[in-house]
Amino acid sequence: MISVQAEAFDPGVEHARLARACPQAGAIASFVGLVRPASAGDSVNLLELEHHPTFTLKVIEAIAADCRARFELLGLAIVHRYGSLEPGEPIVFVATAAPHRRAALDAVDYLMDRLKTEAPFWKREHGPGGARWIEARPEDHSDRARWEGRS
Amino acid sequence: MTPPPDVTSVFALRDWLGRDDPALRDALCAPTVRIAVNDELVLADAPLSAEDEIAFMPPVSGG
Repeated sequence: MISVQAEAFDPGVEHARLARACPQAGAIASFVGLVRPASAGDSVNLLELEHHPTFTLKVIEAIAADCRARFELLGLAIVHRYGSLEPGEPIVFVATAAPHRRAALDAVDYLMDRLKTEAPFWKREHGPGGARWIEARPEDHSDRARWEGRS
Repeated sequence: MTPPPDVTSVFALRDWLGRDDPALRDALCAPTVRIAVNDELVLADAPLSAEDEIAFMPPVSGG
């Protein structure tokens, strides 16, 4: 299940949904990303995320397809929010179900590395000093590069 | 938005959109801006036809 949505979500509910959909799974791994309360030393009051109404979902679906081709999975779930979010709110949820843990854990890591660098979201942090647009960090790109040329 | 019939490529569309606004034209032509036509990434020489949906996208922040 892949969803790009404005509405808040409950990671526990999403996790349970994937578990129900994959009764043959021996492992489910998951990751929840939260809006950080501070960035580069400044506090963040609000994170604004813009997306593209169709292209964003399409890119995420392509990343998910690559992930399914790369790892032995029984299922995966990606939920990503857009709109205005407050610090502490879940912004992204990724979970994978597999027969064994290694594929599930690696697939979550892979999905997050690709989402962090490629998913078409535009983020603006609002803090006491005003608002600023955010770009992916160099570490995000080096994390993403770890998967190049690996089978 | 309906450009005139002689706008048949992304190149021409950028020129038409920015015809009265050099700053907008420069922004659309920035090398970091990615272009999608009907949700497929393309280069600026891509042809356009009626009903196409074109998106100019600045560098993404990521998920």
